[in-house]
Amino acid sequence: MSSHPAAAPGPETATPLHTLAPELTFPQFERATPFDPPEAYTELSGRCPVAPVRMADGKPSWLITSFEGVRAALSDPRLSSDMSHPGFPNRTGKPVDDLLKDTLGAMDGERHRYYRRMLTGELTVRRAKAMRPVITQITDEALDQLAAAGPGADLVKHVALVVPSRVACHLVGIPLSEYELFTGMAAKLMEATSSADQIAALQDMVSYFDKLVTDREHHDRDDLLGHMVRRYLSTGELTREMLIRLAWTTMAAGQETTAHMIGLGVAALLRHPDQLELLRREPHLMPGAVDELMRYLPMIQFGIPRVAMDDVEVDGQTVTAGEGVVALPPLANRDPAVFERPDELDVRRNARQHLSFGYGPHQCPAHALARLELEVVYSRLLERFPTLRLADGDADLKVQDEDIMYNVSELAVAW
Amino acid sequence: MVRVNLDRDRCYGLGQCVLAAPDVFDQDDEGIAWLLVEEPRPEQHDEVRQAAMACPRQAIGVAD
Repeated sequence: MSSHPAAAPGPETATPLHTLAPELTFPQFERATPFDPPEAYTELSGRCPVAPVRMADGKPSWLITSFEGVRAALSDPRLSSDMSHPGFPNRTGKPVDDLLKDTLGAMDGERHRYYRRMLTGELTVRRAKAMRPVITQITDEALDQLAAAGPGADLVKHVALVVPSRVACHLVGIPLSEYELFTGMAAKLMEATSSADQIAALQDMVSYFDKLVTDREHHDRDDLLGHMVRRYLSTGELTREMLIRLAWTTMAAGQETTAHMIGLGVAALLRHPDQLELLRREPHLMPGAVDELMRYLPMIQFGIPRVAMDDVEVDGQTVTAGEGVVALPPLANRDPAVFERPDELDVRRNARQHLSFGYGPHQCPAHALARLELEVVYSRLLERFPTLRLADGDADLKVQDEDIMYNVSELAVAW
Repeated sequence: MVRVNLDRDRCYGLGQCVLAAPDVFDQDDEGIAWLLVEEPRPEQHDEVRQAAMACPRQAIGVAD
């Protein structure tokens, strides 16, 4: 479509976003198949990789669906994560979530870097690798529960929702005996529907972490909280309030995301028996298969929002200062310019550069740990249950297709 | 000959390079990457290029 702004050369042809007719409302949820992105995006992506869309609050934003566009947007310092900016895309139609104010995800530049480095040291590749035995043990215990429940058992309940929470507890330093206390608090926080409920849930969470921090002030503990208390709280580089915020947001970020990748990933493998068979025959393919599943499965439903602080060109389209953009990794991960046969699940392909962990300074700092968890869970599951199959055969999967992360809410398996 | 250049000031400590090319990159206590070798062997060239591609901060240069 030659008249489209995305096809126009050079910034001199910049058209203000508010003068354009939106191509779509965002987000879209309707899917033709359980493992493909909503069809409306796919059609739009090929025609217009940076397209005007209407957000839930009625305001316009640019939707970015190309691989290069998403990478450019998420690595450009002129595109800000400041969610209190009036131009910041509002994806849910609700007022800005107070909970997330002044968390790492909402910071920019040097301030972001200052706090972020305190976390990355806890999440290096070496640290992740050192956790393999613990992850394996936690996984095997979950698989015992699955086996004990017998054929027809729900993999989401027994494995997907259990392993990432337990691993996160171990990492941060929450005693396993208090694991259910923590997940209960986290669920309350996420499910709160009024701001009063949310404030109460947050207070519970903060006072719980405050006790853990006090413990580390009196005892050396070899966990994330212990290290951060010793290295940054005791030196004054970190306030108690910020330490607690970093700790609980890290825990919260690592749970549902990984859990849903376990459920959806196993569903995808069981629905692609040729790929599953390949992994059984050649288990060394599993690390690559983890990246391929992350590339292929369209989990991120609401995209990654930014607001332009200056005029910025993104994949041929000028974004004017003050305008919002939403980067959509699931579409970028299907960009035929980067991935051949993008709509095929192919565990042999090199999919390492997928954008499901985001890109740029805000890329998921726990990617190495998440990758390892998925590798261990998928591998142990296939070893333990060589005849694993979907208990309901070809029946429709029970998907939650309007959640923040697309997921299967239940996955009955048999063996 | 291939020469690798790493801008530690850009690095955000994500370790994508360590996953891609574990014999060429490592991370310090704060996650910031450092180079184990500046001139990787021919069989490492492919993974070094992958590391450069995967770096979310575009902090790795590979010169032929």
